[in-house]
This record gives sequence, structure tokens and C-alpha cells, in this order.
Amino acid sequence: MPPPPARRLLAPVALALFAIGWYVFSAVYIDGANRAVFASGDFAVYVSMDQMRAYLSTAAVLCYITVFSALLIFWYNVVQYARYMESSSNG
Amino acid sequence: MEHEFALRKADEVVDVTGESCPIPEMAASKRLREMKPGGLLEVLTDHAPAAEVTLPALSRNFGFPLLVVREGDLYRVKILKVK
Amino acid sequence: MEPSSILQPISSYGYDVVFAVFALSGFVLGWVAQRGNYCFVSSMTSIFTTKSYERFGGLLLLFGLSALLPGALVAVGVVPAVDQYHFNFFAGWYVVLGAYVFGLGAALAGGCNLSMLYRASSGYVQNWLELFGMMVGTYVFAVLIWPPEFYTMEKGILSTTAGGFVEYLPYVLFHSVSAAAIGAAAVLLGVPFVLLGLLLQGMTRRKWAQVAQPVAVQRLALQGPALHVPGPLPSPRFRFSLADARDRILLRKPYGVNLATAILALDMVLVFAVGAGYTFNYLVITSSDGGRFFEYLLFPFGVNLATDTPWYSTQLSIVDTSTLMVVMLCVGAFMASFLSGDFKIRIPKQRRRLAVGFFGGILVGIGVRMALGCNIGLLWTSFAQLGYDGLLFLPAMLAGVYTAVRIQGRWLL
Repeated sequence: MPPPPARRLLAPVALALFAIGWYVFSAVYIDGANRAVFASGDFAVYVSMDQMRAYLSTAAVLCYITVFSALLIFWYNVVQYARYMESSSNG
Repeated sequence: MEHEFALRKADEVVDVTGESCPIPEMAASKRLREMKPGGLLEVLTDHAPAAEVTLPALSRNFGFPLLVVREGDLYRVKILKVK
Repeated sequence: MEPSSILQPISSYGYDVVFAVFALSGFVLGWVAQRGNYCFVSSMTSIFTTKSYERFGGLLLLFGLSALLPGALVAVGVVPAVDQYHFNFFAGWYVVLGAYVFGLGAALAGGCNLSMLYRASSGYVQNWLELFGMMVGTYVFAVLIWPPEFYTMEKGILSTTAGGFVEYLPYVLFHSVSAAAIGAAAVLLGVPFVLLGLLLQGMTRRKWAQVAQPVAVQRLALQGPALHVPGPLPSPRFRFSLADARDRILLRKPYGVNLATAILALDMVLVFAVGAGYTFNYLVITSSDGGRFFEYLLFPFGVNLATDTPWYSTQLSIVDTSTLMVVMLCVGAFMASFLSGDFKIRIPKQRRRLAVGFFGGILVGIGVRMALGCNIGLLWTSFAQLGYDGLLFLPAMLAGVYTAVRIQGRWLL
């Protein structure tokens, strides 16, 4: 039997990094750009403080959930790998 | 009939690996229209919905028999143009 | 007296709940679309390539249900009418032309705005390029096409000069936004689509039944690779069986067309009710987020399109409920494809498909912005809004898809 493909371990890690990256990006750049358009007086695209706070807090919760799920899948697949290695060394 | 499918070499092969709907069925449909009756078409795809849903639907619409052979991630979908 | 233009939430739960529900609905959308292989474009190409109406019928059912269910919520008074018509866009020449360009680009690239996102999340590199092409196309539109388009909208040249209740079918047909007018308009718009969808699906099923069991698949006792035996074609009709339900929950089986349709229609209702009064309370405006992500990509380089570029500086808020919806759509689609064992980075064997994907993506970007929305945020949403933009969008998109099918058939396949 061929070994399970490496993507089964790499993809969940990539997902967790994406979730963290998205939150950090939102907090730094999206919030920053919103302040910049406020400073330039462009209220057509400005998002109110209340909405921006809600966006960031929801993004943070989603980040936790996604990272948690991704790590759960990662560790499950690590166990599958270990089982495979064990069975192939026995066989 | 099944043996003919499994053993006969395809007259034409369309390799659409890496592509998704609607390309596999469009490519298969075009080749089937161009082929002579009696020809065997083989479509190579790794897009599961193409092998499990859209190509069987296409062969059913044409009224042509179909066989799917799976090799890991790759599906070989054979369609016989009977008429 | 003119109908109201002031949004009214159903209840005051605040933006946290709205963002969370939109994110959840995005996850559901991505998951279900991936499991059902739901694609507006391939449901249309199958009409032209195989004369199969199963998936297109499902699409019409989706539109019909999306008119009937939110229409019913408004008619019985759960959601105020203003929340249904407030975001109706201006209709005009650009909806027709934009939908044509969109249909053409999407069918060339191999993905509508929904399938582009869930396939990109399932590892299809061609759809990554389509997505990037769409971002570039949005920029081309913003700079070259938006200024003259906006001029015609302001002057009313082949365009209405107002959206909202002016384009609300109850108001158009009965000059009223009363419960009776809304109920009647929802029935008039929704029921024909439901019936037509069922009729077309029935036609295809009857055709399949007449063919004397052509799918000769049996397990053969041969040496060599395993024969994969596909089961009977997933029936578009929803029949409940415990074994089927278990296989679908365990991701062994894809969702049939009508199961996916029903879940997507309910997803639309969820967003419609919870977002009412707060924001654009319909399923994703993925095209806006295509533009937004391009803007985001440039932030780290110190470029802020929002401060100095046409369209970006007037039409695109920095962030929206739909942003989280699109991000979670990608997460949902990734989860569904990964957990079902389907996820894989796939590069087309024919490398020119990558170029076609990118070019098609540019057309998608230009088309969706011209039309003021994509197949989700305008076509499908317009039915839930009881507007008529979708009725302009649908035939034009079909014409675009047809053109692409001819181009593909002649030169690209």
C-alpha cells in the first residue's frame, strides 16, 4: 500500500496559518485602511467603528475555531501516519 | 461487452486531468460527435464529479455504454460510440 | 405615499451576530456547493453539450424557491418589505451586456463565481488563475468602464435612475408594497420557475429512463487496476433513505442536485432574515470581494485603491459582512473537499488552459462589475429580492455561455 500523501498533513497546517494570517491582516491592514479613508474624509467606503469592531471580533472567533479544527485534523492524520509506519515496518 | 471495454485499446484518448466541470464533458461530447460509430473513447480525469456524475449522464444522454476504471486519484472513463 | 427607504432590523442583536451568521452561511454555501458540485456555468453548458436539463432545472428550482420563501417571510410580516427591496440595484443596458461578458468568461475559464471559489479551495490551479484574472478584470473595469457606465446611470440612458422599491416587482406590478401585493408577486415570479425546473428535470429523467440501461458497468474479475463501479446516477429527486443520509454525512457520497438546491435556498433565507435591516441581506456578493481582495493584496505595498481610484473610492466599502462570508465559503469548501479525500493541487495537463482561465477570469471581473453583480449577488439574489434584474441577467448569461461553448468546441478543446 502506498503511504498516505503528504498533503494530508500539510493542508491542515496551511489552513491554520491562513486563518491566523487572515485575522492578523484584518487587524493590521484592513483596520488601518479604514482609518486612512476616514482621515481623507471618504465616507462612501468607510466602515463605522461599531461594524469594524464586530468584524474583527468575529474574525478572531472564526480564527480560533478554524485553527482548532485544522489542528484536530492534523493530529488525527499524524496518528494515521504513525499507524501506517507501524504496519509497514511490521509487514 | 464489459470485456471489450476493459481489454480493448481506446481509439482516442482525451486527457483532461487537472480540469473541472464543464471541460471533461465538453471535451468528451465533442470527441464523441467526431468519432466514427464503433469507436472507443477514453477520458482521463481526476475530477471525481466528472467520473461519477457528468460523464455517466453524458453517456446516458447519448445512449452509449460507459465504464469507469479508477487508479488512485485518476479515473479512466471509457465510452463506446455504438451508433 | 412613497414606500419607506429606511432599513428596519427584525430585532436589535447587533453586528456581531450578523457577521457570525453570514460567516456560517458562507461555510454552508462552500460545503454544500462542493459536495453537490454546484456550478451555474456547467448547469448551462450541459444544456448545449448534452441536452441535459437536470442541473439547469435545479437552478431554476433554486430561483423559484428563493423568490417564494423570502417573499412569504415578508408577506406574513416577519421581515419588513423595505429590507427586501432596499438593495435592488439600477437595471440597464449594463446588466445585459455584463451578464453576457460574464457568461462568456466564466464558461471559458470553467467556473462561475461560486464554483471558482470552491474549486480554488479544492486545489484547482486553473481557478486560482481565474480568481486572480477576476481581480485584474475588476481593476480594468474600475478605471476604464465605470466612469462612462456611471454617466449613463446618472442620466438614465438605457438605465433606470433609481433602484429600491422602483424595481420591486410588487411595486412594478401592483404599485403597492402591501402583504397581498408581495405575496402575489412572489407567487407570480417563483411558481413558474419551480414548475419549469421540475418539468425540465422530468424531461431529462424520462429520456434517461427510455435509454435501455446503457451504462454497462460490472465488476470484472481481471488482473490489474480496480474497476470503479459508479452507482446509479444521483437522482435529482430527493428521496430520503437512512443509508444515503449516512453516506452523505460521512462524505462518501456527493449531494444530489435537488438536495443541494434545497439547502442553498434555506441558506439564502437564513441570511435574508438575520441580515435584514443591517446590511445587504442576501448570499454572497463574491464579485465585490474579488475587487476587495485585489485592494487587500495591494495594502502591504502601500497602495490604497480606496483613497484614489474610481469605483473603489466610491462603491466598495473597506470590509463587509460578505467578506467573512467569502472567506468562510473557501474554508467550508476546503473542509468538504479535504475530509472527503478529494483535495489535491491540480494543474491542467494542457497548460494553455491556465492562460484561458486567467483570460476568462478577466472577462468575469469586467462582466460582473458591469452588471453590478455576479450569478450569486445579482442573478440569484434578484429573485430573493423580488426584483427583475435576474430576468435580464439569465438569458444574457445563457447567450454568453453558448458563445463560449462554441469557441471552446472550435478552438480550445
